Amino acid sequence: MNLGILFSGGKDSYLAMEMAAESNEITCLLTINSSNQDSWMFHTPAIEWTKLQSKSLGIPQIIYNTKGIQDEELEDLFELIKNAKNKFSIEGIVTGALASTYQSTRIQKICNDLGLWCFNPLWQMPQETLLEKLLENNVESIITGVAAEPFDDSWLGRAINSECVNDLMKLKSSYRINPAGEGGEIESFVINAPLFSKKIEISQSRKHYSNYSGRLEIMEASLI
Amino acid sequence: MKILLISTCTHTLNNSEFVIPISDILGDIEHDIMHFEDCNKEILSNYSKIIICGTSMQDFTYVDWLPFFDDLLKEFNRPILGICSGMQILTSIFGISGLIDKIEIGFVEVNTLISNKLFDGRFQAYNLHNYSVNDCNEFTILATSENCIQAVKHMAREIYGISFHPEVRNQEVVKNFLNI
Repeated sequence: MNLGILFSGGKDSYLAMEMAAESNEITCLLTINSSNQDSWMFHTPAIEWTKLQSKSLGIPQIIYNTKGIQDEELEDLFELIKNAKNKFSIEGIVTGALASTYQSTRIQKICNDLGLWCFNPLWQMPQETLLEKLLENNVESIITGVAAEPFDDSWLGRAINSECVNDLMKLKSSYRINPAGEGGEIESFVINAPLFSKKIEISQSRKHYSNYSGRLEIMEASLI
Repeated sequence: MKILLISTCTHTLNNSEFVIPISDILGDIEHDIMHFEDCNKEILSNYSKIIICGTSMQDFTYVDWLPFFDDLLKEFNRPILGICSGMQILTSIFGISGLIDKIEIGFVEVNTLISNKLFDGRFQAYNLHNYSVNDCNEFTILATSENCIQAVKHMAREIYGISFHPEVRNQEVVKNFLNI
């Protein structure tokens, strides 16, 4: 089946794509660039650098810009998926949704209206399992956003490796953090993975941080 | 004896969404997962209970296989729980009730009509379906939402159908079924 993936560049959408790619053809990446950093639907840090991931994956990308206003962003998402259906003849959409019924309900409605299948391979997956799967599958990602106590600015840019996963699991018990960031506690960006032909090297970045909330602004990056 | 989870998913990728989360609820309770096309009556005789799991909104393959399900399940005299497409299968073969076009996506309020072993009261439940079931003489309606029948029980047997997805919310419904 030809599928499009709702792609934010983070660990969840990458992992969902890898699972879907085992028995399907991923023909396009669908990315929403929201100017609202607090969007409930779309994750925002480092989104402009998904174009490098698209190049490394060898999968074309359609990017739509949205102001991120609650109902309008859904219309933008509808148009993006409709466009992908027409342009790439996709029969379904894959998402990295884990537990957010807010996101998944809205995507399911759009897919149903357009007669498309909707696949959520990570749906209800325990977050520890997801983190273990990332390590097992050699998915290299970094933290590009934090939004919860006790994350300080040292977390920004940190590689999500086994040491980091251990630390996140400790925070689960001490601070009730969702260890994979399902509650928006962390955002991530994949820099290398089995489906990538080249690794992404970040040569210049800047941290923006205050009061347990921050993001990593990638200023220069390239494929190596 | 073991529990059998029957998948109605045409695409294996959907199993991770509709079957594996039910398997996670079962946890250490001994169970197997099998696609319906791989099932036969002899295999089913090895299990104490069956759960027929749901599938994607665009997946209607199970509708074409209703005669197969009829032959497979009619003589299985132990408890069965059908979730979403599973409920549609059970009411179609045991109640000879046709399916009707009724879309529900997301949370709906469920109102319990008759006291039963699976749930009680009013609660929010997650639905994802293009079809629903008709009222029919063989089944008692246990619960409804504003638009749809949400749960049924066979009049004479421990055969239950629920329209909502307990893997998303109301996991205790599955646990209560296991205690029947």
